[in-house]
Amino acid sequence: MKPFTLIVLVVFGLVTAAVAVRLLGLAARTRKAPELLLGLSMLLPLVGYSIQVSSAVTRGGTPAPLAVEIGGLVVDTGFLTVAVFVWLVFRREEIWAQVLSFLLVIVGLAMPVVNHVVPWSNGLPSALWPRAVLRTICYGWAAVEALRYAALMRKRVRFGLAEPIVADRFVLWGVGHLCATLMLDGLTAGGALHVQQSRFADVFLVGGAAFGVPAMLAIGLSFFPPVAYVRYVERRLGAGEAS
Amino acid sequence: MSEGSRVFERVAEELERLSKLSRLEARGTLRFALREAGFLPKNVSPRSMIVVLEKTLPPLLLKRGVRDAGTICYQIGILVRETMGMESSEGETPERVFARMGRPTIPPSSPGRSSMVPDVTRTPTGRLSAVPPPEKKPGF
Repeated sequence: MKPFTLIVLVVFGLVTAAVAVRLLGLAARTRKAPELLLGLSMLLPLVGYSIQVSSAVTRGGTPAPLAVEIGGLVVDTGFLTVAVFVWLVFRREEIWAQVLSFLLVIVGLAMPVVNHVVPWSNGLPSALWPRAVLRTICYGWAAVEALRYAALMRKRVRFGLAEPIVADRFVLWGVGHLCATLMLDGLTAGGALHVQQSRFADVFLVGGAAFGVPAMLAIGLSFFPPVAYVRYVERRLGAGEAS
Repeated sequence: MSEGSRVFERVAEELERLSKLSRLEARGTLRFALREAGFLPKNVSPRSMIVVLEKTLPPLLLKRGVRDAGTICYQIGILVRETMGMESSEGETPERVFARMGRPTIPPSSPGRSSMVPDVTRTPTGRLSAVPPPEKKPGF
């Protein structure tokens, strides 16, 4: 694995872990579902991917099938909690969102079955690409809803009905999940090409990792904004506030 | 079947009655005014509606040929304050959820203004308000 990709993945993991700890600590205090779901959505993929990567590293590049199964299920659960979070927070009363979340959960739970029933091809898990699509839908939905709500919040800031830093958090969260989606898709493609010993594997691995940089910056800033950043946002968004 | 919150439905009815706009025109104009302020019919609170009545709705009504737009909005604003109160009737909104997740230790950038919590106690300003603004309650 290229050093750049490895560094990005390690730092991304650390940022994600810090955010997960914060959110789960907040959930323990507030006893509210959104914080718990979001914290799990950060923690579980980290744990799942760590299982797979550790197995790959110890086995010279290709993870053990059992690690792929268990890690994949843990990762999927993390992504599905994002979908449930988006439904509960943004679309709680919408029937279509409820149905979509339910379908995503059903499909997610079916992935391990797919992996067992459908033969693997060229060393690649049969559920690899369906899982990638499922995860892209979960994170993509989160990004769309956050960015849509961010547009509403910016208007509210103009009239003094919302705090600039909270409005900005929606943008950061949406951008973070969008970049994380592109990162994961790139790394999935790169990993698959690596197993097949393709010379293009590194292109996708490095390209995917490149999206990890804005992803971790956006997610980190949304939950741990430095004071200087908060002041900057207040000046930038608050400047248009109607008097 | 109502498409919006209680305050939206009430304001839409009053707007239709006072402005002589058709039901479709009144509701459409109100929806547009809400959008300009960043709200949707289903999630607007009485407090936010007051700001819409003061800031975004009057110009839209004037464009539609409603001559007494300011007076109409002022009257509806009084009605909203007197009958619906100023407490937010919203439940767990995305704004509240995301406000909780921010860093809690950042000091406010100006006196009386928290930078981390939605200022649900902020009183809407307005030259149209003859009713004294409600007392400021402690924020979160």
